[in-house]
Amino acid sequence: MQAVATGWTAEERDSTRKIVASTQVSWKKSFNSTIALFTIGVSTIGGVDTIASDGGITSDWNKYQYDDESQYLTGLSYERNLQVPIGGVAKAIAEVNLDNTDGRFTPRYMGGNSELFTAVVPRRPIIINAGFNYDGIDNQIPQFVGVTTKTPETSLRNSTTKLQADDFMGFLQNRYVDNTSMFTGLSTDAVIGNILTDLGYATAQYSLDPGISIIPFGLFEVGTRYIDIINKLVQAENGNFYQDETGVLRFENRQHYDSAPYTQVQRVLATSQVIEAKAPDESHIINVVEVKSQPRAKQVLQVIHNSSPGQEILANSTFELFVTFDNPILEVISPSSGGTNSYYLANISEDGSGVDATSSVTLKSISNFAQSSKLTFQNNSSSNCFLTTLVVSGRPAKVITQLYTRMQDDSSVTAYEERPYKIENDYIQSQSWANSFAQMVLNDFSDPESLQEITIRALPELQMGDLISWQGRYWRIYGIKTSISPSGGFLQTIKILQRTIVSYFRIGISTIGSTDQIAP
Amino acid sequence: MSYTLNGTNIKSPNTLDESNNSQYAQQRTLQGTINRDYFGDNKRVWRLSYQNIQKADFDTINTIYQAYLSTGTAVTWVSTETNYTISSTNVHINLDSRGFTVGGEDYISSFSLILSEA
Repeated sequence: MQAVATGWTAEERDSTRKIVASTQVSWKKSFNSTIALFTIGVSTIGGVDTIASDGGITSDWNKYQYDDESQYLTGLSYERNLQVPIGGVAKAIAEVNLDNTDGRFTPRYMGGNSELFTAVVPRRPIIINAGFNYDGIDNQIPQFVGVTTKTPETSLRNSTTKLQADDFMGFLQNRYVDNTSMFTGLSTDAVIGNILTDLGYATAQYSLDPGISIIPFGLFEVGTRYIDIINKLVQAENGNFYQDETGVLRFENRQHYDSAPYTQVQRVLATSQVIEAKAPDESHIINVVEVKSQPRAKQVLQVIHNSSPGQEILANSTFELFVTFDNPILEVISPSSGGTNSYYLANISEDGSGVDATSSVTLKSISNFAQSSKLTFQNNSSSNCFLTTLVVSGRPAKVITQLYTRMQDDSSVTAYEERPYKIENDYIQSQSWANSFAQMVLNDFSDPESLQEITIRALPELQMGDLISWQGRYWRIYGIKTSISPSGGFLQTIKILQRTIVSYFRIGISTIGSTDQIAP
Repeated sequence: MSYTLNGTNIKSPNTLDESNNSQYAQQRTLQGTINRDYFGDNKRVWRLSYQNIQKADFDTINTIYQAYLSTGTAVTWVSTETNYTISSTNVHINLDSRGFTVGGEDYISSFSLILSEA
């Protein structure tokens, strides 16, 4: 939950609230590294300093020069949902409706002539803040930071303009691996950190929990979207990766919500705050879970290719040979004529029964790829010869085990028939975690009472994972859809998952024999 | 003591009506309470009704209206009447219809001037 003042808390529960919201768009995408962020006690109200995303965080998007379009705002909505049931990457989206009576947002090709008429295009940074006016002051907190996804929709008849935006997850969705790469022995947070660094994110722009899994081997193939890589890694941990309201990318591992402040109720919802409560239909029920994984790990040096090519190499010529390996290869020992682990043999006869010609052949070059190599051999003699044997050694990453588990909740199956869910993820490393993972999904989703969707008078400080109390039970928020409109007011539809607060064993604090449980 | 629109004195209306225009959404919660979310400040709306007005007085008002339409910029509205003062307020103008109920060459007309606080 975002920190708010006491006055805020009182105002949001008042029967009469005064809603404020703002939208800034960097139409011209002017970047100014010298922009000063607003500092209490230093900056002046009404001055030029920009309000930062979150106090001290200086993210790059803060450095754009924004146009404040708040006076044109007629309505907005934004939505952020964690992925259930197994976590992964979550993207927030937003929609902003603007009044265009004076033609400010009319693009040139529609006859526009405002100062923005050439800048009304997609991929513009956008900020949304919202809150309340109390004590005569507009008090707002960050709600959304992102980039517009498409050209604003303008209706000349209705004099309106609609903007649609994604948060920065959208950027990751459109970035592809352009060089195959592999890693060994890294935790999930280290891999994500490396990816974000490669993509140009500063460390202040993300916050990563320590990964619980150490991944023995991983391979990023050319053309894979970075977002898919991260999604797979995060799902293997049953974690979440998303951008919060302040613009910070967050990786939260599965234990993130098991300690304070997430174990304490942030808000108690009274029925005087709730407008509608709905039980979802049965479609979310999962009562059978299968988990499959084929984790890989690097192996000791071994023969990874052994063949008898029988390929003729003409006198004083070169010959290129591609070899494909059964597994991704971390290291390839270049074959040589007298090599121990990697070597080749040549002969003047195709079947190797003639005079040995190995000394006439040299390996001119070798290019190694993830799962293949290109070798160029040179026949230095004036006679043709045959490459009769090729043995290549290296360090492959082999499937080390086949993990499989199938669990079901019998009472739920009896009541609702089988509702299966399959998790296939090769980054799942152990049978015990596969079992725990399946059991956790069953615990949360085999019972229809576990989920609810309620519409409330907005509490804009609520964030993903916050624990709330509703109808005497504890619930954790995994989705928030907020809307601000003159017809509906300032409302939130929150998706909540029922929780039982468990105290987990902590070294140095918990005692052996106590009720504290071992964290999954 | 006068009514001034965009810096020009206009004829006093036969009747004047002031109303409030607040933008709010009302919700009823499961408990039964009714709550309101207000957006922005209250805005006033003035309706000035004129009966049987000379053409020259109408033209004065219409000229301001036409200028407002062409510029698209709200104009100032001031009342310095002894018991009804309005400090300078930016307003949008509506002059939607004009009716002629008195025959003759003077084209004496009746109309309503609606001023909405910007």
